[in-house]
Amino acid sequence: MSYILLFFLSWAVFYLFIDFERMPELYPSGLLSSTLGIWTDLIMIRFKLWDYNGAPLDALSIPLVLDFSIYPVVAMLYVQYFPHRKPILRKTVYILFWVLPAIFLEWIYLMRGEMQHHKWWSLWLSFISDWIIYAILIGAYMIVRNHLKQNQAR
Amino acid sequence: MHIWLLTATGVLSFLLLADKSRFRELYPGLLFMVYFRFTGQYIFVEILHVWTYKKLSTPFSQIMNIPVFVDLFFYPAMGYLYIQYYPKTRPARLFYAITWATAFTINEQIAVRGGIIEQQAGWHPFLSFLFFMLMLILLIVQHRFYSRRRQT
Repeated sequence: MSYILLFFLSWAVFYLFIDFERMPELYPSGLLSSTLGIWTDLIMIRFKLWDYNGAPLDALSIPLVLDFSIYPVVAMLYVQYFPHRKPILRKTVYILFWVLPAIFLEWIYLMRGEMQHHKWWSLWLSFISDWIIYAILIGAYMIVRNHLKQNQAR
Repeated sequence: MHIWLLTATGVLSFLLLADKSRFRELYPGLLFMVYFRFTGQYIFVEILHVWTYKKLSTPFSQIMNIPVFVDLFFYPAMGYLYIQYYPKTRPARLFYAITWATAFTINEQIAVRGGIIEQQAGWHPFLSFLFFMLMLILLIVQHRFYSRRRQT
């Protein structure tokens, strides 16, 4: 049930905080985030480094719910508020500000038994992965941002 | 062989035909094709078991049990070219979409005949055609959405 709640909560947060004017610019980040999500889901079916459970959804449907809600929403909000013109330290703190809640949420799901880590996977590896994912998201966003800047300059 | 051929087709057609100066504009189209293909594979292969892949020899295929290279190189390159050459008039657009969806369906049927894809009972080439039509329509919808700001 908590995954369904998370789905609706994600889209409610999206509705409240997203800058709809900037949606065409932010949307590729959401798409990339969901793509990375579905990619890892396809890998995890074989490797089983983690899996989910949470009635009424079956284990295979839960990743899809996440890919259609929290992943794209978080990616778009993260990119929207990214401090592009601030010093590197400020950017690092900003990324940490997004990584910590993600890890905290994962920890809650682990504690509640709605998510399990297997084999050598741990919360620390999730922490490192999140840094990489957030770096990829901002790197990919620069492609879009520069394109839109060039068009506005014309 | 079929998978490698498609991968090579994707890479070569992108290198030779794609207008690389429009990469920043068409990049979400590439991304959309990867997303649509992977999501489709997840739903149809892993959850609904509508089709399964056999004889996959390309790297990563053993890990994900889908033709990863085709979904990463062939379809995104085709999506890029599809938007790049998208016609201006409505009848031409309809003909264009039908031609591409038919080509994708024929390609899939070649894979079925070659034993690479095993489709379950109830699945029909026409459903594949509709699936590809949906993919191409959504590709253009997302492109227009992304390009909206530039047109204003």
